Amino acid sequence: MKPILSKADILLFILIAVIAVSGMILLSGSGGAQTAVIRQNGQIVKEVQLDADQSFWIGSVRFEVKSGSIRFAESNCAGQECVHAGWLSSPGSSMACLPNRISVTLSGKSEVDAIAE
Amino acid sequence: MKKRSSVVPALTAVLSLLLCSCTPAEKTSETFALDTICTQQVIGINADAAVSEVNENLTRITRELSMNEGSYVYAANHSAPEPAAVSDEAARLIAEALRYADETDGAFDPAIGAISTLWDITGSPRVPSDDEIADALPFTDYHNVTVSGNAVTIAKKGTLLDLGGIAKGYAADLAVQIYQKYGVGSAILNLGGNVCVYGKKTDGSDFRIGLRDPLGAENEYAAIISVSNTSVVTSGVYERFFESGGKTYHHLFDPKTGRPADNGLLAVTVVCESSAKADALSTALFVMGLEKGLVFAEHEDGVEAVFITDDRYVYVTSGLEDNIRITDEAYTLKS
Repeated sequence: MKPILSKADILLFILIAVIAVSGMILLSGSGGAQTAVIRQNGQIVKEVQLDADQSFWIGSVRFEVKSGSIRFAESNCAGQECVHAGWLSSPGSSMACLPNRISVTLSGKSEVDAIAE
Repeated sequence: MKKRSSVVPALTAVLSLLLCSCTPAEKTSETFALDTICTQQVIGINADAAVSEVNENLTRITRELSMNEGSYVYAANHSAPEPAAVSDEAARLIAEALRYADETDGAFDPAIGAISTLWDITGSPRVPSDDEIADALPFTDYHNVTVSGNAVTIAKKGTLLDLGGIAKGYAADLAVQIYQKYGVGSAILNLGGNVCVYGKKTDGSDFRIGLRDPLGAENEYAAIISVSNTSVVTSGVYERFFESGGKTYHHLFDPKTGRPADNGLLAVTVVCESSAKADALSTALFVMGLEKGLVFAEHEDGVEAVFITDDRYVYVTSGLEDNIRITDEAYTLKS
């Protein structure tokens, strides 16, 4: 008697399961290192993994990535509030340089949906 | 063969469903308007259209209701003592602002412009002299402003309307109408820390809103409140401030003294379905101080409030007691 599932069926099933599970992990953004999404004027201009230390410029702002955190290291703005804001590391958190209209948001879910301030 | 062909599609279907259920139609957006960063997270089939329409309105409100040249507020301020013709919307919002000014006995005053421009916190901040403040105070009085139809009259020239304490709230109220129009499921709108939540989260639970730790850094919060279909607006000393001669000056001016309110409060949060009211009252309650502010909030229907003092006590109105959780042990809940 032929089995209900052939070897090929089982292989196909495993393949679909692997694709589905990896898809879910990728979409939920919880796999691997944390990602920082950088926007300028509301548009995403760079996505950077925080697992490698680096430094780069977006417009008049220099970002620094170190030990899984990111910060505004330099900015040409008058108030320097972005530079004083310090390092960003907790999942789902964000900060911005208002005069330059540049923001950075970390991937992942925070314990809160928003912060009133 | 017949049996086999039904099993594989069934398994595939179940897996596809699993995958789909993890990705509801969510639209996120970030834009700069109202002198701050404005973000939206909207879930629903028409999320795209709703988000765009909200963003267009944020830009329009900034243009029409700021103090900048070309706005209706600018027109009213510069045609004084003659009336200025403004839009229906501007007339309605100015009338609403004057009503909150009346209800709070001037603790919220939309005619704060002479004082706010003197300190210029958002531009080139400086500490004005006593004489300068004394000279500006007679012009800091909402009684000098009247609305009749589409005409706004500032009877005393030099009095300056400044809707900065209510415009973000109004924008959020307008956004809620747009979310309703498009039938979106749920939304979080964050206008520079003024948070407005529409509906509940997709899992049916309340939104969890952190209340900024007034003594901590950005992204740090002292407590979490659980809410749905409402606005959460905070006025705090850590926002829009400057330092001079070793002293810190924040943007929450007491209209009676012309100086930043200095009463031991670090932050006041108002929870209210009307975001404009939450916006105006967060400033007013801060200016009133803890005792008067708590009494006022308790007596106001549909208004809840949280007060954080400089000795790290958190006071809440009775309606919020069951919905707040202190998350930073440096703070103590009092009720």
